[in-house]
Amino acid sequence: MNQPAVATVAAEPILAVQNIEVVYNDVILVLRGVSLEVAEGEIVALLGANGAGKTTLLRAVTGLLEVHRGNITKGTVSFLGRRSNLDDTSRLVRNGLSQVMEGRRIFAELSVEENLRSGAYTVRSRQAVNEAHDRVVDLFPVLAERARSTAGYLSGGEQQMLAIGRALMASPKLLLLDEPSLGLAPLLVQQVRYIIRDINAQGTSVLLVEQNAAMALSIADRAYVMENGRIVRDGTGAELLADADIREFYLGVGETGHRSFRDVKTYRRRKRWSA
Amino acid sequence: MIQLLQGLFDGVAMGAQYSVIVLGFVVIYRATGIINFAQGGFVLIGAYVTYNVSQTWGWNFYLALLVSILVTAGVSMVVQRILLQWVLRETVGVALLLVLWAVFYFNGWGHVSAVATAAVVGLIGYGVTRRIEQHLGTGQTKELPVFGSIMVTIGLLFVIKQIVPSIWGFSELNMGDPWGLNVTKVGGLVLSHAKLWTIGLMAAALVAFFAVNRYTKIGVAMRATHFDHEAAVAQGISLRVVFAVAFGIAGGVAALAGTTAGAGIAQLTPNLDLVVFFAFPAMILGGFDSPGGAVLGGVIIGIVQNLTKVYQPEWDLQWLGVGFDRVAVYIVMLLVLMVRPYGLFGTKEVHRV
Ligand SMILES: Nc1ncnc2c1ncn2[C@@H]1O[C@H](COP(=O)(O)OP(=O)(O)OP(=O)(O)O)[C@@H](O)[C@H]1O
Ligand SMILES: [Mg+2]
Repeated sequence: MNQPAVATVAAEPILAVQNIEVVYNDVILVLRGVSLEVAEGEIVALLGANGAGKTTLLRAVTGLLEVHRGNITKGTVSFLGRRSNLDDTSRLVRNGLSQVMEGRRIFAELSVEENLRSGAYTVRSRQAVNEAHDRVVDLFPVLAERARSTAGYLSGGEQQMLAIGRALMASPKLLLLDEPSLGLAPLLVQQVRYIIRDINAQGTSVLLVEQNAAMALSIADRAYVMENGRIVRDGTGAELLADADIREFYLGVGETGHRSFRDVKTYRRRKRWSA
Repeated sequence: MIQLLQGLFDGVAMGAQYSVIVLGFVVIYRATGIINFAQGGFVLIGAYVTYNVSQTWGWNFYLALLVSILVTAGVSMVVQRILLQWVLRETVGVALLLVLWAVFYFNGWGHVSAVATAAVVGLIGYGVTRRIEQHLGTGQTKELPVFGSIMVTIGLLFVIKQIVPSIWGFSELNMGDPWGLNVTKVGGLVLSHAKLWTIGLMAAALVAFFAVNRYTKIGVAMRATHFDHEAAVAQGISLRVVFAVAFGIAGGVAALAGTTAGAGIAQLTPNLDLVVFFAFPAMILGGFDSPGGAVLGGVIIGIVQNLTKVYQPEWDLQWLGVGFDRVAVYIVMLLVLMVRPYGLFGTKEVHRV
């Protein structure tokens, strides 16, 4: 394209979600006109309270809505400049879109090694699989040590590493992570943070869904905030980190030191105006 | 002692057959969550195709068996795509094939030229439909709900049970197997060749299945899909492929079971599929979703049935009735279920979204 780059997005977007509406079971409207972009090489964070629709947005991008009887009723999703609304997940993964699902979802009955191999299902060349395997094991040496153990017997942190490693086995161009820090001790959260930066430094773009806003914003180039199925704020990581509302409602550090119900109401009002 | 050994041998032979039949159920259940009642129909098709190739066409029996395994696997896969997933392109292709085959045949063409021409047109229809689907962006995997699928497989069983005798008739047929009534005697034991071959073939099939399931990419994909359907999709595993492979395996092993069950003098009748109902307790015994359970369940049921046959007259239990060996099987099954409600190897939850 020869258009000048859009203000917020530096390069050609690898993922572009335009104004999508998602409905579950033909009646439950969950996303109401969501737009979002991830440019090549970026880490983009997506914040939002429980039930805001973050996971739904990821499902819309990866073609998993079908499993949940969900549908994109309006708008488009493009991956690598190609409209991908109707692609099945298999094809998206082959084209370079991998995900770490909410709650890890490792195959607990399979061995660690088999879990990793399942992540490389779409990779045809054996050599590419071996290379990806080497990279993953480099990143997570514990996965090599426990290669033959049953994945269900790993600790929660190790399972999260396995889930990330499994997603990396397809050598994705874009990695979607749904709450990778969930249920991890602070030290492990730090580790996950470093790993995400590492993965990004090796050339993979990242869309990171997080409840842990401090962690996410500290590594994100840009971030979006989602409420009730809408994007209500977006900006660079630093901008949002400095923002009073974000500080108060996602980082839990209010300017006045405490939160009152009235503050919440003003926030809601302000948000309505901004949306 | 000899009696016991003989009962065990016969039991293992029968049980091996049950194991393979149950494996067909289990593989489909694990992949798709449905019980495929048409499995009995596949057993029938497999047996009659072997008969047709070996007797009507006069091919070598083992070659006929191989052809039958491939054909039945193919039929099973096509059935899955068309009836259970409603994949339009395949429906169009197969419909063209069958309709044109019939039209050409009744217009005096030979079978071979009719099938070949119809197949070419069917392939073109398949390709064109695929193009259109891709253009419109439709044609993703659609699944019937589980209950609907089960009803479809029941309907299919009836259809197959109508079609098979309309082609091959109701009379008892010889499969043309080289085993016949040959036996080898070891001590007092009578080892029939048919049973020895049954055990050997079934064991080979089971070993092949377990090797595929354990070591190959598609095996890992099948186990992953069984454990967590959605997470498997998220890895890019194609459910279409997993379902098709599961049905292919089920069809192939059904042909194997049908052929061995129909082997021997005048053994092949359109009621051969009843063997599936005798195998059913083995599936419940083993736990619905465990291939290992299928094998163990099958062998246990086979042995129980045969030992009952041996010892019922011995212990003056004739008053229990002539078919008591089949009842005994259900009694054993119920006893096991009291202790282990999910069967010997079944998992409590079935992980499915
Ligand atoms: N399969 C489904 N069927 C119907 N409604 C659903 C389904 N999945 C999610 N929802 C609804 O959609 C809304 C958004 O859910 P979603 O899981 O996308 O939120 P989320 O932002 O990921 O929340 P969390 O932070 O708790 O993971 C919720 O109100 C939820 O009840
Ligand atoms: Mg979520």
